[in-house]
Amino acid sequence: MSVDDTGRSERPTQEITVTVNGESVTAEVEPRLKLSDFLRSHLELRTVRVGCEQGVCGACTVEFDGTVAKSCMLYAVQADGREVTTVEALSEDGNLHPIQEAFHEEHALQCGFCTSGFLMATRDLLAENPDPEREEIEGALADNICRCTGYQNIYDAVETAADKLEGE
Amino acid sequence: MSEADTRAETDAEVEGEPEPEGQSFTGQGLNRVEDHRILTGRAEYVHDISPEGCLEMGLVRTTRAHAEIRDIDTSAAEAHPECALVLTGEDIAAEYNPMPCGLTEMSEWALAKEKVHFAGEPVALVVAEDRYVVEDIVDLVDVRYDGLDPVVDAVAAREDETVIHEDVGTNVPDSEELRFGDPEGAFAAADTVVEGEYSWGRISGVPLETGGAVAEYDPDADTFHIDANMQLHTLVDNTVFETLGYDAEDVRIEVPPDVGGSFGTKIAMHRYMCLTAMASQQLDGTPVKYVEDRVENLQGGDMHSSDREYTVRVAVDDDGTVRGFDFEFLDDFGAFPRYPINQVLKPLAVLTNGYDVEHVRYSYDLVLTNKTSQTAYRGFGVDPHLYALEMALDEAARELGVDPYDFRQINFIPPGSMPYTLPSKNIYDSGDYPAALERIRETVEEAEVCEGGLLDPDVVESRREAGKYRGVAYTLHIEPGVSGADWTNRQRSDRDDLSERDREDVAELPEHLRAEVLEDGTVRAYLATDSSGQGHQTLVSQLLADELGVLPSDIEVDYLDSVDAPTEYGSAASRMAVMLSGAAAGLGDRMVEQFERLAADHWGVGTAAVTYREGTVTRQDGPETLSLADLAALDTDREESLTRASYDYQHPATELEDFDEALARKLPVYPTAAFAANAPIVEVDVATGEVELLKFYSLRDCGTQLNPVIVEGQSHGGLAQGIGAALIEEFGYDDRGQPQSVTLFDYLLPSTTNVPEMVLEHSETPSPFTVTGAKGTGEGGMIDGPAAIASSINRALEPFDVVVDEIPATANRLRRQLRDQGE
Amino acid sequence: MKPAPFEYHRPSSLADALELLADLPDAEPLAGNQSLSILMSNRLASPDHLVDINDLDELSYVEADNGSVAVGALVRHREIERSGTLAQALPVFPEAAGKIAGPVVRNRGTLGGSLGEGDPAGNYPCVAAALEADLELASAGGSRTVSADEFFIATMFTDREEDELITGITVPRDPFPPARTGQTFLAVKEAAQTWPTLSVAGAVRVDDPEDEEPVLEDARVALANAAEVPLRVPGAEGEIEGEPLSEAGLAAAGETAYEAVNPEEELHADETYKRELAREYTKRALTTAHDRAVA
Repeated sequence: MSVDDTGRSERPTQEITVTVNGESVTAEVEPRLKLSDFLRSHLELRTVRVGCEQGVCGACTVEFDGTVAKSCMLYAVQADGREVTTVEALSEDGNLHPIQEAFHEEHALQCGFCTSGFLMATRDLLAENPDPEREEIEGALADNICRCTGYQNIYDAVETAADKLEGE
Repeated sequence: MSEADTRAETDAEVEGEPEPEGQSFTGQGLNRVEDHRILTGRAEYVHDISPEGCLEMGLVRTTRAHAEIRDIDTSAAEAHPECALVLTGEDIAAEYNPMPCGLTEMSEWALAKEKVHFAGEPVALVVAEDRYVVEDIVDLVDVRYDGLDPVVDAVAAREDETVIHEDVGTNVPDSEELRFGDPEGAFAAADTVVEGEYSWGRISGVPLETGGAVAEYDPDADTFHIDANMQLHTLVDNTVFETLGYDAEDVRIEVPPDVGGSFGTKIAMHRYMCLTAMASQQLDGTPVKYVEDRVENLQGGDMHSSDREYTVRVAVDDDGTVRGFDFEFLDDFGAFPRYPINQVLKPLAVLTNGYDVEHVRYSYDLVLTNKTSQTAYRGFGVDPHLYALEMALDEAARELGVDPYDFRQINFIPPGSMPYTLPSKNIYDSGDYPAALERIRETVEEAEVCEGGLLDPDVVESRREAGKYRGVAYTLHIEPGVSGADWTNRQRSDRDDLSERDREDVAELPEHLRAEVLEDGTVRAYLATDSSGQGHQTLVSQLLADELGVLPSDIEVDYLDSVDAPTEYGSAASRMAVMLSGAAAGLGDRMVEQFERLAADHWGVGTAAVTYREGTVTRQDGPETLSLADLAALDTDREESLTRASYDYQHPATELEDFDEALARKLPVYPTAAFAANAPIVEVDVATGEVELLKFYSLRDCGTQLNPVIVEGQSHGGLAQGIGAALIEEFGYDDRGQPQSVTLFDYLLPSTTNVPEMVLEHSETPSPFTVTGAKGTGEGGMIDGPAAIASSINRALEPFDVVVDEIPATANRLRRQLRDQGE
Repeated sequence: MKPAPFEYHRPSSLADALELLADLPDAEPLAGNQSLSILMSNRLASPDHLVDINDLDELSYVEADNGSVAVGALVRHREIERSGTLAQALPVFPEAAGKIAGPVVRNRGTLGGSLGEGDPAGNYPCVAAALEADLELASAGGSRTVSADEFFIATMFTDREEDELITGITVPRDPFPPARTGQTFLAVKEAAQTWPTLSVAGAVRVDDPEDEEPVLEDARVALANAAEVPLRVPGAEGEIEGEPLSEAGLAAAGETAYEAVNPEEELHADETYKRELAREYTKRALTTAHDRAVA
């Protein structure tokens, strides 16, 4: 897949090749383009949400180079030659991933704007710690803000997801 | 946007088995139909909308709090090779109108003209291909100012030494004093009068999704289409079309089904919508998009909320009986009294909270300063009122030497008095407040005032020795629900004429709901309002499934834009549970009647000879049946469609004579009174003022729960916002009017580390005033959280005689109070 | 909130990075980007060149020998937080790292970035001041060592030259034998995502932890966000050194800190309040460090 960036001829660009959700993508980008904007505008990966561009809210959290990172604090050029994973990679053929299922079942989302970030942070936590204590969940999700749910159902969703994944 | 994305994807989300006889979907905690599309990235928020050829807009915002604009030099910006458009206040004034304000005599330009009134106010707009280059060009606009003294302190602003709006002539464009009963007599007769002063800082919703608008002008039709994450787009669309100088039907406002939170704040989205529309028109119809960034959102995004200074007096007898209240406050509205100014009046709907007190004085000054304008926020001004009231009661209890729990019990409205008419003429529908407070106290005592509990007396004592003071207070709060519409223009009415007004003069707005049967028999309903995470699609599918005897998965729910929808109030003021219940019932009856008529017509029999039941019309004298899909097919060529219907549910207060006086006099009408009995357990570090919330117990009652899962979610979320407001959130300004909270490092949203475990219990006292017995409950925790937490802090700090005098009750403020007490 | 244009460079060795920094005018090193990106988004910083040092694996080390502990500039907060070596040798480091934001920020943010930013509210500058760390700076022209004390000059202003890169820090182990030392890092924070209102790094070495009243041989206190540099408070240390820990000594140390600080007022922290925090947290940090030393 190749993304062309026309109409900005006067602005210098750089070619990057990034593996996004397992697929290699080559694109011409301005060096200043944030990874979050690249994923959203160029690749139309809508689960990457931008809530603050200050590294606080966590809505743009993706997996970058093997760890979760806030994509608004990275430039797309930094992803050249690296791997990026977004929530789009979680659900296969429209079926929800166990973590997504858990968020649905526990009513762990309301407006949904923060949800992708929580899904990615939860995925990262459970990969490392399949059966986290409440306090460990608190710490693992401290970089993500939810303004709607008050977090109670998110804790439940993480625990439910842990159970589901354990059963797999 | 494709239809497939916008509708409730019920097919992927079949929840629950067909209902057994006598049972209903309403009342069940069904999982939401909205979730699937959000979880998988198929939801389309306004930030995701980018039509072909769309350009982006950026705003040049002033950094001055108060200044005259001497000159705006746009030449360098216009010379930028990628610049498509620059507009200033003068440019738009030549062609468009100022934006409507909350008070009729005032108006505001979408781009500042002649002077700037607050740091962050836009002075020019720029359009180019993408936001990156837009910001390059914004930097090239050179604005020169002549500085003016900023008006920052709202108390001092009342002196009018510097007047912000010379044409208005004062910084206090509205004030009112209301007297209910005989407050003077009550205060004169009382044994004691207790007085306290309380501050409520600027706090607001700060949804994770910032404002956004995508406007496209159609030069051929001379109309606009605007996608925006506006709240109340069918009510306050006049703020857009009037500003553009067009009729309502020429400006189509569409709100995506998924909005990333609003909490009232996005009622004031009109500036961005107007500016993108103007820009698109100036560019002959090129679509123009604007997405507010977080700094813009926090400093000048038109979304701060109540900012009050209270003086509260309580007239009380030695036996603990409260005879009267006197509330006097000012509310700092910032630079313009924005569209929802009624926040100063809504507290009248819960004037005495849960207490039976007849004599009350209530007076306010609405003050203008050089700060960002206020808009609505969850609670709509009730939260500071209940905070100030409960603090004054804690103060009075201490002065009388009465236990604050007993003091509250003495003064509660007796359950036998329900429905109860407040002195301010609103009516509480139902509730046993003494029992609720007793219940929460028992719950906490059983679970926590025991070995191993947070309030184990030994633990409390040993923590005290370490300087950590624990406490819990039991408080009860009323959440007024389902606002009427008519009272909301009180401040734009001649108030002297209100006493002459008749009940017939009252113009309420109904709730509109419509539906049609699709070819495959699916029923598609249309909401005439917008949503921002409350789960309205789920609720309507439950309600309508019950009305029509089908599965929720047989119902799809879509939204109407501002042109297709009638003017109606919409989703604010905790209205939807009640209004949608009524609308769904009315719509269901109408559809069933039409289905039977259609079938009877088809079979050539009278309607008495057919019966509709569970998605099928049956002919009583024969074996024939017609499914919903059959009915849809039969209906295709008919002149009068019988598989489409709409219903306008009248506001419940208009059906009840008891509300006549409140309605006629334009006093706030909120016919449901949900309530919460709270018991947050806090620990205060006396040496540092730091507060740790250990656990939050709450007994909540919103009448019949339409969907307990959604109710619980609203409670959790509201309480989390209440916790933030109580302890950390605030928009500060320095004494030059510079905003101090322009990032999320300064305006602190509670994270997992701030929100403790919540232990909720729900009781159900149905409302006698509503179709399903439901009460509005969209704002609860934000209304009752801060007062409850402050009261628990008071209990913890009782040994130091501290009563929280400022919200948020930050550590430095509590330290100030402790220091003043010699600690 | 979009940055001005810049050119991007990603060297694969320290030598290449230093050459770029020497050759390019107005270049900034780019590491975790958890602070620089915010400045750039708000166009408070608009460097013409960014030199991405994330590929310089040679700056990603945690090493301890008998004499000192050395930590590379590219070590992430998360790695410091979880480093067994540091937990054993200098436990104040992992404790301070764990109190930076949340885990996602900690995945990216680096030691060097935090030190180089020169924010007096930062956790590592405070720790470096308390432990008398040396910062290693390299440029194309050579390398030099600067003590933490001299490195931090004023708010967001350090001794680093534009063409220099912080490559790591070294902390002498001699003053902190694990068996007789306690360390702590305490932060007063309104929320995880923000900077501390005030924080304190403390360390205490006793003569004999088995003794009923061990004598404090060495005490360290440094405060963050209490002045325009990370503030070591030797006066407070002096109040408790040379004798067993006492209430009176702690109180005197607290009073010294109260007087020593020169804090900026913030929205939710006036000057008096920050002084009170300095007093109280100095006492708490020393008490905790002491308790750990004798444990």
